[in-house]
Amino acid sequence: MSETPNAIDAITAPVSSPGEKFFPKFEVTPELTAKAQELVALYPEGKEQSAVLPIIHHVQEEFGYVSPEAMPWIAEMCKSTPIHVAGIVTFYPGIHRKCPGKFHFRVCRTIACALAGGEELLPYICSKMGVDPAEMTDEEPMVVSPDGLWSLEAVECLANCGFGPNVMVNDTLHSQVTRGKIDEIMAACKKELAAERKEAAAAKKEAAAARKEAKAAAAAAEDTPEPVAEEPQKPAARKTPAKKAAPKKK
Amino acid sequence: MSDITYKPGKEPHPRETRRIFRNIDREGYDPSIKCFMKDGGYETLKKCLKMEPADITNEVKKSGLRGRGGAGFPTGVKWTFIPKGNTKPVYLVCNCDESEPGTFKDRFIVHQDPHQLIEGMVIACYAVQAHYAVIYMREEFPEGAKIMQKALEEAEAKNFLGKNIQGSGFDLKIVLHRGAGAYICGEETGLINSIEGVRPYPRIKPPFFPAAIGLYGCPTIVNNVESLCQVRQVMLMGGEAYAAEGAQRSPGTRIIGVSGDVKRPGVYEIVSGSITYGELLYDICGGPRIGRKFKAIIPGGASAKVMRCDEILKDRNPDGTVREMTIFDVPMDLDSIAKFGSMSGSGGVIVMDDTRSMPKVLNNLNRFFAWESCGQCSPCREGNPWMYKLSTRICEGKGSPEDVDLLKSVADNICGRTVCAFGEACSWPTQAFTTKFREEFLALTKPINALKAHSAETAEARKFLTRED
Repeated sequence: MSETPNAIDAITAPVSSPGEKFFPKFEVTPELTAKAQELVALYPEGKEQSAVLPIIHHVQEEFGYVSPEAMPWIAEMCKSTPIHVAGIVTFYPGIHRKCPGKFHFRVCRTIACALAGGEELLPYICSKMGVDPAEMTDEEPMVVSPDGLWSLEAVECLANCGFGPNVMVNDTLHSQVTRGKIDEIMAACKKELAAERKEAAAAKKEAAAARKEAKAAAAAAEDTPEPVAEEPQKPAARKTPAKKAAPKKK
Repeated sequence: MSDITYKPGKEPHPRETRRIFRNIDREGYDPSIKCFMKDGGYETLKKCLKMEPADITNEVKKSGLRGRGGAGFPTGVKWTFIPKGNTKPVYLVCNCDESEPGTFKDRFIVHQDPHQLIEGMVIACYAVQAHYAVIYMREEFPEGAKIMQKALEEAEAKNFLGKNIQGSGFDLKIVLHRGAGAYICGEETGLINSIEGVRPYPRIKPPFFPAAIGLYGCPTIVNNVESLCQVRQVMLMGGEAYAAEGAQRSPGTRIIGVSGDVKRPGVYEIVSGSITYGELLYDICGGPRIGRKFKAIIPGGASAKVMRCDEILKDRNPDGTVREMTIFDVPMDLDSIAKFGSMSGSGGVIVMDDTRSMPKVLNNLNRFFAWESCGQCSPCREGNPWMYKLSTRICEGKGSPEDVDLLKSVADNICGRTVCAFGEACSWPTQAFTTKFREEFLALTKPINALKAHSAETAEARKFLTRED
């Protein structure tokens, strides 16, 4: 008996997804806690539990999905229990238990969009993303591409019925979508990613330069104890110290 | 009105009367408070804050304004349901969950004119003396949530929200609460549970009428976005002037969202009862696409009963004679369509032309309801996937004629046996489609299918019944 996981363990078991590499891993930081407390403060006193959905939304925005490790923390923040949070997370279709891709496509397939041809878009998007449409089931309506860049979810009504088919990419709604428009959207996404990567590379370079400068300044001041104290903390990070050490000095 | 220009291609149709949608797609209009106030925004609120709260409620009652969320309950009457001598705090919740397929009016208000809603909410809160209000917005409006949050901050900075609003001594805090994609949160008690941070199972009525026992066990008024905007309109025009316009039993304007097979789908604001379905679909929406004919209309969001376009409807004239008409002659108010067994609901009109297969349309709706059932009551939780399974089987050509009757009987056994109105919402489409388009369903079935096993398990169980010689 003890070897078979119970239903709750099965529900909260981690699901790995290639999308994870585009999001930071769940980690409790002072900023995160402060944000959660701010959200709790919106509700009347003694009703901390009301903040469970706003906190979940915030976690999802930051980390892409609600991981099993996040649930006990959310419970602690809104003075609830982890199982209660698990109950909420499993109820709503808008809360992900699996990390979506960098660009999350939500395709409406409810009546008005279906009449406009929304369902016919699904196989096309699947082929463009390189995912198998058969993977999309009622239990797990979201599929993530192997490179983690794309994810696709068939959803119910996005409330823009007159202008179907509707596709939502991350936070932006695209209406009257055709195959050509899908190509355009995906090209724009790729452009955005390239720009982001370029920016990140530039930031990395800048950080490296800043570190060099700081090092030079430190050498000039002959203030040796600080770098010595810092170095043993991160022995593994030696190969690329520029990126990781620089923000610490700021 | 003549000084307003609209964006090219977005001009209102001459038969429209833009009140709530006055600023939608307007040239040079943005959702900022500056734009809204330049147009006389928040003046009504200032006027209302000088009145007695009970007078506002009376004015709204006098106007005959009915809720625009679907049920059409008189808004002013709802407000008076707060128990007399109540000592608990009163809450007001704005239902911006808009998840009925076919309805997409609130999206425009939230994205383009959020201050109109805030002003309406402050007036309503003042009338019921609520000092804490929640806008429950659906998760699918992430941009709308940002716009609304900014609008709330702007309104607070100008003292239209917060402490001692405009020196009247009235305090109000409005919180924006986002849902997470569940249809059931549009049900008022489910919505309240969602705000409380528990699973949004609807509560049983009685005793859980929100006006008596609502959010945190306190009296709570739940109003739709459009209703709250109409409250502002009532106070702007005066109750009697509002009541004088449009259909007698449902005055004012209505926002109609048209989707499906028409030339010009979209949202239109019309005076209630001033036009018929035919005028809406042929004049305003441009009629069916070239070479096609209208076949069926769902008049009030996905859960309303479908109407056949060639069906002869019989209505009684005031002098007692019987008049024959079709759906195209039915006026667009809240009650007329109810006489013919459907409902006008939240104003989402879905149109299908003669190229559509009705069993397929029903199958799509059944999938929606099977997916969105919250799972609290067994008839709905089990019945919806069953109906979906049956309609899929019929669409795939594996059904037998008996399956059509079974489909209807499952629906008949859901409605009226659940805690909330979802039971009715999910069974009405199936009941209406299978009755009104029975021949289409039967055409897809074969009698021999009744003898066939539909799953591997059934085949396995039946193998001993098969003679092998």
